[in-house]
This record gives sequence, structure tokens and C-alpha cells, in this order.
Amino acid sequence: MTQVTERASAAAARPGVGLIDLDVHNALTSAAELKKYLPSRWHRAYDEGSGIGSARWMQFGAARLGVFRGDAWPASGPPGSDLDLMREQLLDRYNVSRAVLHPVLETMSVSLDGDVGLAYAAAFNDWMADRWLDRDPRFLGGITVPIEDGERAAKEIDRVAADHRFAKIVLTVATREPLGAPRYWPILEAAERNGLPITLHVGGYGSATPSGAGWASFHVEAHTNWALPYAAQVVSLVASGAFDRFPNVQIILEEGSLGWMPALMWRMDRAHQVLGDRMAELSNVPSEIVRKHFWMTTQPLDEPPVRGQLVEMFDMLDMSDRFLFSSDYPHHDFDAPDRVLPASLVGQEFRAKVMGGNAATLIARALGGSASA
Amino acid sequence: MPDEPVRIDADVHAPRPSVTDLTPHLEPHWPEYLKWTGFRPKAGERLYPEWTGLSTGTASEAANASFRATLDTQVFDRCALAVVSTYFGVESVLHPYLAPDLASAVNRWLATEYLDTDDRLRGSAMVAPQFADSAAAEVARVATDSRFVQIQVPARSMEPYGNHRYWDLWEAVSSHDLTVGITYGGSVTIPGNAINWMDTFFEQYSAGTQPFATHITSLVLNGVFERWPNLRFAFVDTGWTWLPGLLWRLDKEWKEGRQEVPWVRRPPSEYVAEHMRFTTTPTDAPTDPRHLQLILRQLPCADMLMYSSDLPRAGGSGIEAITAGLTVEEQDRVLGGNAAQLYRLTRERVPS
Amino acid sequence: MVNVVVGPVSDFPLGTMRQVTAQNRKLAIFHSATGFHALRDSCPHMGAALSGGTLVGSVEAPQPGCYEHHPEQEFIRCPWHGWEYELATGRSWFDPQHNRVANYETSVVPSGELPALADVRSTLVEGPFTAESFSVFVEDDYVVVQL
Repeated sequence: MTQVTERASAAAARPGVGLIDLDVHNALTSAAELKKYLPSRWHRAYDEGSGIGSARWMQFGAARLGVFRGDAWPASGPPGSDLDLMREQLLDRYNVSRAVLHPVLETMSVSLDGDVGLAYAAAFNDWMADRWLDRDPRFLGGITVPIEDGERAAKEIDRVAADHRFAKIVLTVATREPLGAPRYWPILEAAERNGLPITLHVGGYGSATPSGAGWASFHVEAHTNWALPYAAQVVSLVASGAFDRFPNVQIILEEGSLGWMPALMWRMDRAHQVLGDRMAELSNVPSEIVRKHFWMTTQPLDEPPVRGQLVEMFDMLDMSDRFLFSSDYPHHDFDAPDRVLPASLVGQEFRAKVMGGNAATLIARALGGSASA
Repeated sequence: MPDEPVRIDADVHAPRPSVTDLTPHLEPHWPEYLKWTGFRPKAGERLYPEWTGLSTGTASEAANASFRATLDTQVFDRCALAVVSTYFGVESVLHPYLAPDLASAVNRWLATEYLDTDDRLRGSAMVAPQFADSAAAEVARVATDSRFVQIQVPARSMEPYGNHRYWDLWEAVSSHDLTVGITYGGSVTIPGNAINWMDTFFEQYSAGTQPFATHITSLVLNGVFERWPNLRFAFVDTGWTWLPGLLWRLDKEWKEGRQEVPWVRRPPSEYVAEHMRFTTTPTDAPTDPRHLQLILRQLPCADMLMYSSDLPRAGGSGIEAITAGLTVEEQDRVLGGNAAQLYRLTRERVPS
Repeated sequence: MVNVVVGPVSDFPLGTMRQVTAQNRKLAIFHSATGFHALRDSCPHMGAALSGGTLVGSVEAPQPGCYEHHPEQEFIRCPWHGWEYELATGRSWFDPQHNRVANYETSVVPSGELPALADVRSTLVEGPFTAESFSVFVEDDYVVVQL
């Protein structure tokens, strides 16, 4: 662990910021709740076509526990919809100082483009502020956008970013095209303009195939494969030169796990070396681009057979200022902050950075904003 | 020196045959059809474009002679045996009778052109996995020629290889006690990464391990190794340093979701350790050599790797960085013992 | 080792999965088809309460697709990550040697025999079932856990 702790920068380890959870999911009490925030002209489309449960919604089938923690169901409504239960099971139990919320199952099953997609995204964001951010200062929000419509997504980012309690822009990782494609540039541009990181979260049904070779037979198989779209997006974003075009863009790989990243860095660097001047448009080697522009949340934390291998991996990644704790409450693969990354394994300083110090740097604007909320 | 350990090169690539090369090996109705349709094996260039300098090139008398000469100077200077393959993109052919026949013709060509002319070569026979019943028939055919030690399928496929559509093929491979080689790349109608088509070679190559990872997960979780305990897979030309990270995730997921696949009775990494091997070229290596040794020790067992030159591409450079941290016994296994075991290359089958 | 009375049997009808605190320990009490079982109510993985999990039979498969369901081999599946522990032993399915939760002997004792148990007076006070209520249910049988 010495290598990691020695590299720790004093600036990133801020005592007193408390525990920051980058990945928490709130939920609508019912599909109808969104209509309170949705102009009436879209209600019929929401009910009968492009709303929750539309053709875009792919059933998980045999997902374990319906993807939720078995003990996270409130008396009524789905997990994540009851503020008091979330306080009890997450904020109060683990003394979480800030939890960054975004609804996930609902937002990825509605239209993701056009005026209707923009209307849904705006409704989610207004619901977020009204039903969640206004009711507990520990909550911060993720901005929902019509992912597949760059111009309208940028418009919504500009509208919502004025509220500093929104700490990140949320994209599901499985987009229709790799994120380096020009159709997504307005989102990157808006993120940079507003000083907000973009998070890529598990989900989305845009991709042509959810793995490297077709469709899985089992949920346990498909769930393992969720690491793959993250790696593909890193490759695309690096290769596209997006970070030369938008040098201040920061990307959070949220819920992607970590173990695949070291070898991907090495592979990209080798490919870059082999191709030489054909990659001249990049201003840096791929691994350094990753270390300058990507952050990784910890859940679902890799569980190597020898625990020390986790430390070896962190050492190889060499980006200890860029790991962010996340629990993924209320989902079934929740990581408990008092159990993962114990100081006895990773060292006190490293743990302090991951559990809050690094996030405090990344979302500093939102932390200032929420204090006055 | 009767106990001198055998040295084996697990992956050399012969130039790709043309349709003309295959004509003598095709059923008589095909050459006219191929000429009439203007068919050409389009897929080869997509693996490694010529401009990358990584392409194996197309066969010709000169190319074949050059390849043989390189074998002498870069392979058989250190190895007693080499597993030779070629590529034709049969997985891209949607015609259910043409694709298997093309595969069979390529295998006949490979036997005639290379196995017949050099007894130090062992063959990797391609099949069209999208038509598993025909592929199984081709397995039975090449199994009568003991020089073929491997059945070769491309990493890129329409479904993960644990899927039931391939089970006729695995049944045949198992019954003939052959090894399956999953090789880099391929040409099918879905992209080889988990998002969508990528435009540049850098992207395709960087994401090129994704089909392999998909297959490992699929083969184990679908219970292929419970169904066929003697089935073995070589992961060829894909790198191996990404394997520990995949297995951490896969073992974790199994602990959490194994009820869905109760036939998987042990941690997935154990099946991988027993049934899969990886070639050493390419190695996506960290800049810090200490990290490479750590990654080696993170593999599920010490015998995961088989030396390969990947001729004519990388020339086997970098093997010293791998073997530097291994014991002498481990080195012997990486340089030949593991391949001998996987391919059932007993000493009697090694030419003197 | 002490015997703790966790309550009258009537408080634990068939199908009960409930947390009780005894001797400062959180216990998960199960009343399943095979009787009463007690495990430490904390998954060694992330600390979830196993009493909030799912009670399942064992499903084995000697071959892909050949399911064998053994309802009498009961497992509690953790409500978070789904790790499974055998009710009868506390051993996990995936690594029974190294990953397990504490498992406690349980018995059902008629009220008339309770005074014969060693330490019953003190454990009655420390257990969830207090001396006061004990006197109310003298006609009942009681669930006793050996800690």
C-alpha cells in the first residue's frame, strides 16, 4: 500500500467532507407521479407510447431480486421511492453526508430524443428538485437528459445547471453509438460549459449488442458483461479526440467495476504506439488521457481471491485521486461503506480520499450549492 | 537429452488462400458460383488492415515460400512444433451450404500446402460456427488427420459460444478430444464491442478483447465444461493481462447469482484454470515490469500461458519479460509444456 | 454456553423469519418446514440482516438443464447480494469451509421444563422475552436458543 499512500496528494484528502455516495437511486412512487411535472400535452404519449414501459423497456427476465435489495421495499411504491426509508437504510445508518441521486430504471425506458424526450427529462429534473433536493440537504442530483438528442440534452443541461445542487449529468452507458460520435458532442460541450462531470451508469438499450458477441442466456451472464460497454466507451472517447476538443470534460465511470481498466490502458497504449503518427490527433497517450479525464466509482467492488490484489490493481491504475465511493442503494449489489475498502487493506489516507475527499474535489460546486439549500 | 522439454509455438499465421487457391479443394459446383457472384473473402482485411503492417497477406507462391523461410529462422530455430492457422472469414458467409464447404476447402488447402510439406507444423482447422451441425461434420472429417490439433472459430460471433446453438459443434470437438482455438477478430453482422460499430482500427483493436471476455463468461456459466469435461479452449492472439480482472468480476457474480446456473458448481475461475489457455503474443504489458509479474501471479494458475510468436506479426518479442519472473519449471511449461498438454502433443508425436 | 428463551412458539408461526436480540447478539430466528433455526443475523459479506432474506430450497444440477430441487435442504439467501447460507449449519453454499455465519442450536421446550435449564433466570432477563411476560404464557411452549 505504500506506493499508493505515498502518492496521495494532500489536496485531495480533505478531512471533514464526510462520506459522499456518488451512486444512489431514487424512484417515482408510481409512473403517474411524473405527470405532475409533465406538461399535459405529453400525458397521452407518456401513457400510451413512449413513457415508462414503452417498447424501449426490455424486461430483465430473471434478474435476481428484481435488481433491488430485498429489504429496500417501502410499504408502498418501489425501492428508492420512500425518502424516509432511504434516510434510515442509507443516510442515517452509514452517516452519509452527501448522496448523489438519479432515477435509473425509469429514465432509461422512456423516449430518449425529440421534444417528447426533452419533456420527460425536464419532468424528471423538476421532480428531483421538488421531491428530493428540497427535502433533505444531504441530497444532490444527477441531471437526466434525452441522451440520444445532443442539442436538446445540452438545452436541458443549461436549464438545470443553474441549480447548483445538481452535481452531474447522467448518461446510461449503452448508448446507440459510441460516445465519441459527433451526435454526442453537444452534451460534452454543455458539460464543459457548465463545469459538470458526465456520469456513465449501467443501463440503456441503445447498443447493437450488449456484449462483445451477442446476447447472454442468463442474468448472471449479462450482469458480468456490464463491464464491457464501459471499456468500449473509454476506447471511443479516447480515440475520438473528444478531450482535445473539450479539454475540461470529466467522465465518471459509474458502476462499471474496475478490474478491466489496467489491461485496457496497456492495450490502448500499445495500439497507439503501433499506429504511431496515424493517431497523431491525440495530444497524449491513451492511458494518460484516461488518468486526466476519467473517474471510477467503486461499486460493484471487485473481489479478487487474494484481497491484496485489489491494492495491486489500484497501484497499476495510478489514479488514486479519481476513485469515488458509491453504494448503488437500493440495488441488489449494494456496497456497504463500512465494509468495502477497509483502511487495514488500503490505508487510511487512500480510504479517506475514496470515501469523500476525491468526490469533494470533483463536485465542489455542488457541495457549496447544497449548503445554502 | 531425452528429457529436454519440448518447445512449441502455439500460433503462427499462414498467408490467406484466395478463391483460386481453394478451387482444387472445392466441390465442383462451387467455382462457377463463386466466379459468377464475384465472391471474394472480404473479411481478411478487417482483421489487420494492410496499412497496419500486421496483416498476414494473401497466399502466392512467393508469399508461401517467404512464410516457410521465416518459419525456419524465427520459429523452428527454437521450437520443435508450431500450430499453423489461416483466415478466410467463413463466419461472414450467410449461405448455409457455401460457408461450411469453404471452411472445408481451406482446411484441405492448409493440409496440402503446409502440413504435407513440413512435419513440424500442426494444423488449426477452421469451421463455420454459425452452422454448428455442418461444423460438427467438418470436425469429424479433420479428426481423421491427426496433424490437425485445433478447431478454430473467430472471436467475433453472432452469439456467445456457450449458447446452445453451438452445442453440436462442442459435442463433436469433445468426442474427438480436440482443442478449440478462439482467434482474434472475425466478420459478422454485429459489432465486436458492447456498444456499436467503431470506425477506426485503434478502436476495433483496443476493444478487440470484448468478444473473448464474453465467450469466457458464456462458456463457463452455460455449463459447457460440466457437459464436456474434456473440452479445452485456446484463446489465441488476444492478450491475457485482462484475464484476472474479468475473473474477479465473474467469480463475484457467480457467488451472487449462481442459483440461476446451478450446474456451475465451482468458482468460474477454476473452470478457466482447467479448460482454457492463452497465447503469449500479444501481451498488453504495463510499463512497470514489476506490474507484469504481479499480473502473472494474479492468473488463476501458473499454467495459463502458451508461448506464441504470432508470426508473421510480432516475432514473439517480449516473451523474456514474461519468463523473467517464472521458475525454470514454469518457464518450460509456458514455452511448450502447456501447449503439449492442451493439444495432446505427446512426445511420440514430436518429430525428431 | 447459555440457553436463551427467545419467546413462546406462538410468536413464531411457520414461515417466520425474524430478528431477535439476545445476549447483545442479533439473531435471525427461522421457523421453517424443518423446524426452528437460529443464525447470527449479519451476512459476513456486507452486514445485511439475513432475517430479511429469502428462504429457498437447494437447487442442484449434475448437468446443464437437469434441475434437482431439494426443498428440505433449506438455505437463507441474503437480501443484498444473494449469498446463500444453509439454515441447518450456517455454512455458505459457495465456500462452506471459509464463509459461514454462526449457527446456534435451537429447541422447543414446554414451559414446565424451563426451570430445569441452566441459567434460565438470567437469560430470561437478557433475552428478548422478559421474566414479566414469561409468567403470562405459562401454558405455551418456548423457543430456546443455545448461545
